[in-house]
Amino acid sequence: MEREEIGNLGLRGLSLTLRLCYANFLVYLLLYVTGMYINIYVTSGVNTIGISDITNIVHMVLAIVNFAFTFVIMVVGFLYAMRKVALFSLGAVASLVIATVGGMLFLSTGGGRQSGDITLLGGWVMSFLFMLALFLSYYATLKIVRAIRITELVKPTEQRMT
Amino acid sequence: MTNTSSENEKTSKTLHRIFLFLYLQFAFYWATIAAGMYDNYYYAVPSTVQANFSNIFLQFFAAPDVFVHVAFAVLSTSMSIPVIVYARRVGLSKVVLLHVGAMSSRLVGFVAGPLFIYFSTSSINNAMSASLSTFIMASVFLVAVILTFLSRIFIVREDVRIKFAAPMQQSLVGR
Repeated sequence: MEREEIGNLGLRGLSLTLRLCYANFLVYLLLYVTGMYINIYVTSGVNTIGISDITNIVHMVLAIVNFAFTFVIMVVGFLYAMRKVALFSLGAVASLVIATVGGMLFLSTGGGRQSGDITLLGGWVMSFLFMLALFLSYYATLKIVRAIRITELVKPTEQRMT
Repeated sequence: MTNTSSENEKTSKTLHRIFLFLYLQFAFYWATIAAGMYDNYYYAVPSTVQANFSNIFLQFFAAPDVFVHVAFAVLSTSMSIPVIVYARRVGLSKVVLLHVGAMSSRLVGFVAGPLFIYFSTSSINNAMSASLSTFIMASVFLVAVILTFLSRIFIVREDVRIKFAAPMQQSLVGR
């Protein structure tokens, strides 16, 4: 039990945080789909994408929501003594920040497949750091699932013992 | 009670092994997408590639960046095999089903990948179908990732049950 991190958020708080994690995964999913759509159907040929294009705006709004959700989960981890949740989310937040820099580099240096090496590098950095953030967020979610399960099991047993 | 305790210990060890394979699988998933996006940006199907099975198959070995992507894709998919074996051993049927589902969706990706090369060859040159193949490949990859993600939730639940619920019940019976 000593090695387990159940934090001091309580079952209700943990459940709420888990819901936020699931909502975050939905945003990750939409980010992946819109990103792939832009990658395959917009910028794969000679077309370029600009910051004001509608598909790009949708993708960027999702990225902002994704960042906000991940950041909140990180803060909850730090405030309520769940070190692993906090650290995994911190890694995800850092990955998302660098991925966003990669995305901005992609847009600002031409926004197309034929815009040069720096554009492609920006796109590549954006893609693989997005996936890293997804995995780190997932591990943070698993820690919350575990904490909820332990709390659920320990509580009724403690009540019975008293 | 000793029997139950040793059974739980065995199950715990098996779950630990499943965790190790899942860690590897996620690392390979990540490497697959990193290599896949590298190919996406930097790889172009050479004009010498013919639109036939053997030529397309040989292309996986001819281009190192494509080979790395395919190798990681195969490795990440094959990690589901030991997970299925161990999950069957401890009776986690949902985990087995989820990993079978993940492997099946990856198999679709293994068809869509060569199809991308096929439609990109100079003799076929069908950009629309090539794009669709890439989109299918990316979508089924995501489906597989989601399915394996879900499987781990069930494994965590079982792990917690063994570590906490079983000893607590035993201590209550002892009282």
